[in-house]
Amino acid sequence: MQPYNDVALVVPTSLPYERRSERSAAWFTGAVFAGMLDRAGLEKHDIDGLAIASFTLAPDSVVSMTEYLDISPGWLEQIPMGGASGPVAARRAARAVQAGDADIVACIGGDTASADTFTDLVRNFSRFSSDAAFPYGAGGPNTVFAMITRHYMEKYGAEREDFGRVCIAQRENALAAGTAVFNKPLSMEDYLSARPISEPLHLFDCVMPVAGAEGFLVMTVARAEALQLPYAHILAAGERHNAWSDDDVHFRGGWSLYREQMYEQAELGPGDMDFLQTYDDYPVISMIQMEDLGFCEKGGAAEFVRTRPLTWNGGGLPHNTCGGQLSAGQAGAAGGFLGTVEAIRQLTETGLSNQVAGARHGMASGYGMVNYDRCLCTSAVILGRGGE
Amino acid sequence: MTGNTIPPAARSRLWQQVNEAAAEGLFRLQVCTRCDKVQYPPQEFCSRCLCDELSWEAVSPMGKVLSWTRSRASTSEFFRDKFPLNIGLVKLDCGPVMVTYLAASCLHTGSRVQVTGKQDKSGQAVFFAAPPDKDPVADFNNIVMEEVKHERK
Ligand SMILES: [Zn+2]
Repeated sequence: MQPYNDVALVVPTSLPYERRSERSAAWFTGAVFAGMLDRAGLEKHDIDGLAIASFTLAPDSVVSMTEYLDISPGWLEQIPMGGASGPVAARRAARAVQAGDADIVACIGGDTASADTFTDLVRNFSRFSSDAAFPYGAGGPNTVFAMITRHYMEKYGAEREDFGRVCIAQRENALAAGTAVFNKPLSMEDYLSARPISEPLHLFDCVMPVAGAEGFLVMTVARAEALQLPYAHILAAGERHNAWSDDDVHFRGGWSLYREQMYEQAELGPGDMDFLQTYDDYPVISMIQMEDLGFCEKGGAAEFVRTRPLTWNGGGLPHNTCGGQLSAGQAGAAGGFLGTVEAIRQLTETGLSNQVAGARHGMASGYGMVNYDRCLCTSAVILGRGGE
Repeated sequence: MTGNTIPPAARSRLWQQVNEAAAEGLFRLQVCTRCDKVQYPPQEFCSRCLCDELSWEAVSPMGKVLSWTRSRASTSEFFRDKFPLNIGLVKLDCGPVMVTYLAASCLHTGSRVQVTGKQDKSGQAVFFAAPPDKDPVADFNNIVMEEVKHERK
């Protein structure tokens, strides 16, 4: 695989999340677009590539957005991969810039949330789901991920406390970052005594649907330097869909099939990662990513989280340093961008209240799209601090 | 809210075959005429050999529980006075993995179960897993269609 030389990721931008919004996904997308231009010192017509991931933009699409934003790009991409969309957007936009198909690509994940959007979304998520999964209690993804979680616990000996460790560390990170919907500390007692949602999942294992948007710009290093923008390099990237389809219950994902290639390409190993941003729709999924991305052995994540601090300043493996979706809420497809945007932020900005000291390299991974009894899409990127 | 007084009713066109089998009291699933794969959920071609000639045939309804949950939250008003609701992931001996309602006596990984299709109150068939010699809907009388229960007597 060719290296991603001379590609820069800049202006990681997050809109504050809202529990509910009257505004449309187009507004959230447009607001983050305007915010990125402002920070980059660019005019909107400088943007000639646009990649969007959204569940609630319909009946509009990335095409409609060109008219609403009144821009005329030569490169468009809509990424229907939900939680995997951030690393995928970075990967595709990087190749477009590298090949010269686009000069500057805006990558945006954004969604709104009203009383009905979440219900409508889970009801119509896929044909397999509406035929053969959703009718059973209409619990949405909680139902299948509860069964995935129980299977994982029985297969590998994970306990509820292990999931609690992931959630509690993320809440500490969220409090340091100061941006999350949940802004109270979480104790193990709070975690364990929370009301059951779909056992073994309880309240703090589940993300709250919110409205919001996340984005970043992709351009050449020369352009980023001319604009005097701090940037992150993309050192390696991968995606894999419908991997391990013969597994009767989901316990491993596509990451395990391309992580070696990514580490080889980046000339780095998991031990070189100064942080890890996983897709945390449920804590078990973050633990599966820790395993499949090589941070511990398969089945070893429970032991890993018992012994390694996951907080931003704990000296272990800083994990989901802005608090992740478990603290910030899940802003639809923006949830698939949250980790990538936070990774770029950690590598480009200074003076963050949750800054991982001396962070030079980090990984962000994605996971998305329940079709029947698991998510099908996986993705990951390894990023490095620009100029090194 | 409309649609919330019954369980979710939207299904694909192929689901009619599942409904017909359930109405006849039979356990029929899609079988590939070329490679014999038993396929569930239904789709328009075989995911293994891509053959689009699939028949609906009686297959073994026996299987074992792979995992389960006790659900206590729903996006549908219909279920809100019916919690907790036991739902399982069942591996059929003939191959497919099914999401089913699960009898309270089968809340153990590895439990042997028999799967039965019945109409729920939306009029669409859903599947129930229970011990082979037991009434499959004994724990789910508030979910299955009344008429179905009367026919059984
Ligand atoms: Zn076949």
